[in-house]
Amino acid sequence: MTAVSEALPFFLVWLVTWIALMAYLWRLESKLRELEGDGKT
Amino acid sequence: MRKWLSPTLNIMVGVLMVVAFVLAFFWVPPAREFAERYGNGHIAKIIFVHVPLAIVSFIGFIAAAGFGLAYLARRNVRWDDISYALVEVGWLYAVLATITGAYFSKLAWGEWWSWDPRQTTMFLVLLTYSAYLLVRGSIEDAERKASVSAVYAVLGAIASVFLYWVIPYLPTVMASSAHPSGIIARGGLDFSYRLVLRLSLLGFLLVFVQLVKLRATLSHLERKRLELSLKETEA
Repeated sequence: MTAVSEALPFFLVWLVTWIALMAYLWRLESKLRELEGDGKT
Repeated sequence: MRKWLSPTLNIMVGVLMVVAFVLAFFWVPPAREFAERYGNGHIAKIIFVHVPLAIVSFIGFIAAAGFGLAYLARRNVRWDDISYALVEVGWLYAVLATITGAYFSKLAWGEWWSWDPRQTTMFLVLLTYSAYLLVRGSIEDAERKASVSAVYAVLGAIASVFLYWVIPYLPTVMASSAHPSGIIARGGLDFSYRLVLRLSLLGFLLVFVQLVKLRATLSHLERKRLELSLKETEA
């Protein structure tokens, strides 16, 4: 249990970083979809 | 899969990052020197995220200057789109490197921010590129925006070389810094750390490339839409 709790900071850093990068990716994709939608109409 | 990105590359990145995480979490042992210094050898694993973010952000800023110069030479707006995308994604990576560094600082030294020379230089990098984004956003004329951004990207890259690689490594600065880069530089981490760090670096670099491609495509489409709406207004 100690090893898991000691390794937790690394897990948190990894998780938070990926959430931030994926959030940015989704934001870009939604903007692209919006632009594509505008182009079709 | 996302149609604006290469599906093969997406799969490669996904596999690479899962492998890097599993190895880091389950295989890499806690670092002895970190355990002696900070009481928890596992916090050394934060370098698998923090170091690639910082290195890739630097690569992004240098590449942005290269595309900025290409724009100034050829006046092709595509180069401006790429240069801007490199700065924006590089800025995001630099922010994340700063946050992960601050968390390490909290775990190792007991405080989030201590104005360690490394923290200070990274703060200056963030200020430099935050100003780039503000300046670029404040200019209306597209051609002027691209020219000013290109010149700024070149100056920013020169500043980045000093802030990332020169100032932190000056003997007097290193002596006053508690940053553990010295442990890494003198090979104080074993083979497993070096291997996973390389895998992680490659993974973060590939993600960076994908995000830059997407951001540059978005800028390209935004420009086309603006041109179209201007034409419609004129007609």
